[in-house]
Amino acid sequence: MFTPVLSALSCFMPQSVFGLDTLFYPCPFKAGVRSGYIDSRPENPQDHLAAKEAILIENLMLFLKYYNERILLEFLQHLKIIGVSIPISILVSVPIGIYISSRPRIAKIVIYIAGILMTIPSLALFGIMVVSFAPWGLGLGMVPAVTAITIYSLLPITRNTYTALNSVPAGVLEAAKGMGFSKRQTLWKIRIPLSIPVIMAGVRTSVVLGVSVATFATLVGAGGLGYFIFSGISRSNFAMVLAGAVLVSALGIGVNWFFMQLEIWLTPRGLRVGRK
Amino acid sequence: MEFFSYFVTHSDLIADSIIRHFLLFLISMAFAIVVGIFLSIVITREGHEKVGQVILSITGASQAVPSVAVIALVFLFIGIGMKPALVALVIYSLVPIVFNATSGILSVDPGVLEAAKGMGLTKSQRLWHIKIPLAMPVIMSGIRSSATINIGTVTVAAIIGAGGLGDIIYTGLKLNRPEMIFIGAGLAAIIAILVDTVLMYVERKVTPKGLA
Amino acid sequence: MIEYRNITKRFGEKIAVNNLNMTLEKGTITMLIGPSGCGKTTSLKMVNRLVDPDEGDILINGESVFDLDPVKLRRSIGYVIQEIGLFPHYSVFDNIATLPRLHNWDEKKIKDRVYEVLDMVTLDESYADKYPSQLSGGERQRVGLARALAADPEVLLMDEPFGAIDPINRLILQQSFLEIQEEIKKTIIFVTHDINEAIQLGDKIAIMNQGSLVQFDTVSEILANPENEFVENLLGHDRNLKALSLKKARDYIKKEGYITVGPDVDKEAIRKELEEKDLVLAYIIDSRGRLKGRYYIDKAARKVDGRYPLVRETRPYHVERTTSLTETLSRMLEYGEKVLPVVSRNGRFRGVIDLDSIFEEVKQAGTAKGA
Repeated sequence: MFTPVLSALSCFMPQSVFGLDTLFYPCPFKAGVRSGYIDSRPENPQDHLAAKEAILIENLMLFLKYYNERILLEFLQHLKIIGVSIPISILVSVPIGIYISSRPRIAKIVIYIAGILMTIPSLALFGIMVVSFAPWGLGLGMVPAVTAITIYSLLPITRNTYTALNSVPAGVLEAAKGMGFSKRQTLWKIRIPLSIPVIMAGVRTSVVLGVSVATFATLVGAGGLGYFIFSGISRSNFAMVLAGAVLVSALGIGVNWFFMQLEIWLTPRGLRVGRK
Repeated sequence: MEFFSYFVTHSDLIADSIIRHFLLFLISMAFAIVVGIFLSIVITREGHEKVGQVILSITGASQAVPSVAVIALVFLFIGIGMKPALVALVIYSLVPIVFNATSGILSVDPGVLEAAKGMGLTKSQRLWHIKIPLAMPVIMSGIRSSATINIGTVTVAAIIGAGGLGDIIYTGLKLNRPEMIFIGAGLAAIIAILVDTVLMYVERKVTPKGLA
Repeated sequence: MIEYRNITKRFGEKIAVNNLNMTLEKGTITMLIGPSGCGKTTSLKMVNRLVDPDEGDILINGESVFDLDPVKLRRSIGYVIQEIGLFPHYSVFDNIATLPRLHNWDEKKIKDRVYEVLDMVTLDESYADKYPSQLSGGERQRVGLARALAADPEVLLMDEPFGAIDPINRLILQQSFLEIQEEIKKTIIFVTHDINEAIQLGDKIAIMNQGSLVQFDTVSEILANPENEFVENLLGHDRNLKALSLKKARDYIKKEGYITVGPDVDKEAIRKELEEKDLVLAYIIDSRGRLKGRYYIDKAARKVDGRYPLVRETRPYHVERTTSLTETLSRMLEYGEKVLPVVSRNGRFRGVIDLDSIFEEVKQAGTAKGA
């Protein structure tokens, strides 16, 4: 999907050559591999390609062989960071959402602030976390990473909780009132169950965001899949970068899919039937 | 105090970084908007609605790909520097724009479109007078969220040598210099918030009156 | 004049329209009716080429629509669909001005025309700057009609335009639609699924089922002689009653059974005249012939001095000449009157209509069934 865009853009950027060459030889490698390679360049372009493919696969195999334990470790660490921060953000955001659901003026302010927090670039937020926690000796490790993700999750979960609770049809609420439900019963038996799909959508956004933000955790010494990308780039290790990028993308798409299924599964039966 | 002295001694670097930061943002957004809307128009041509649906699910899923991964992949394909960074930014910003513009255009009420066709509006008149204006709120919110993501990704692009404020943060983290981290992060945050606020205003302005 | 010639349309395996032949005369309303999926909407949309048939030809004034550029053809035909068809981002003015602008009229002419058609659909100028979301369903439908009329097309296609409107407003809209048509005399094809609407509005009705034309005739002919069981079922059990809605009060006026008096005639003189003629009703008519009230001898009341009282009413119930017999009947039932005065549009007294003539009409319609 990207290739046509890249080749289109290449017209504007004469120095970068898009094509098979760059497909298999990332620039950091280019010089090194080429110097040993140009002399033996075969006449047949088909063989040329095959030779490159072989080196690529060889590189990857070597990486996977020596790093398989590390890959598993960082993968689990990535999950751990998200696994710790998302429950915290749910525990913080859902009650905030419930609290502001009947206070529209406070809600406006809270959502505005959460919106601004979410606008802050993730790298910048990490930076701010590191600096702010440094005086207590917590500037590195899980604390800044978990705090950053929790802050990002505030907006999606709080806003979705607020909107969902307030979009329960008035007729349903009146019926509940008429049947003698107390305010509390209405909240727990009517409004919250009906809001769960939307709240879950907020949780999904947060988790997906969490996967992305957790890639920076390695910069504050908390590990995660970002390790392969950042170390790979600074060491010019192509296979490492590729593995990191592919794994973290797969994780993002995977959790997105998983939570979508969860959303459907958690939707009250009656709502599910109606939708299809 | 360190913050202040760094600010004074490196004011040139900081100013330079801010400008570069902005340039990366503006250039990549301009490309992403033009290419994104063009693609969405092509995708949503009448009679090709299925293509639109496929693109919707692809772009929907791609939004879950972390920005770092895209930058890493572009690094693998093209290398290091400002131009690869721009390519990564354009690609990453393209996704929400295409997603929103496509879903916006596809969700225009078929009754309205049929009325327009029945009245004798040509294909291009239906596109420019009906579909685009009606999809405008959705397109604009796509552009806005794309811009927020873009300006966030600009900081990240520093890891492949894009420069900008991300560079200051990144270096600060590596060298453990809180004043650098703080200045870079603070300025990046302020710029991001400013951009978002401006776009929120623009979004309200371009929404057709009858839809408000 | 619109002619369907051997029109056939298939959607995959399914035949949507099967060899349709039909000629619609200029200036008339033809109602297309039938169960959903019978091909009525498809048949309508073939006229402005939103759907192209597989076989056959459609001619407007002798010219095949397939020889014309579809965009130009559509611009020459008014098209009204349910209220959702308005452009939500355009004001009422801009919605109506859409076609005139595409035709490149100058702004002055456009403005005049917009206000002219707004007036035609009985909306005042204050509506021009509103947006569709600010209008009620009925108002939106009026704007839709105004938009279709803006470029003064000869042909109007209407696809269940009143389908989404509540019953009360639908009646009002139908009435004013008929009044507008009275004025503009367009050739109209009108798709509906409501048999009452078809009877009420149509000059002719085309009944379709499973893609075929079952019966195509004038409304009264269809009511009197349904082609088969399908049509009978569609018309319902009360088709004799429905036939009444076609008949107008003006054709059943009686000029006997009452006396008329001037506004200043003495009460005793009226009573005397009524008793002489053995009548109970006297209508008060002014010098220009307008109905001003009535006297009647109230035989339900108690006698005073051995005589029933003579009551005067200044605003008697009445019907207009164009009121249908159904409506007349329901007013009689509502007011508890066996006789109602009939007046012309400007209020002039024309005579009376009584319950017996309506019953007579129902009976006749019933016997015509066998013919």
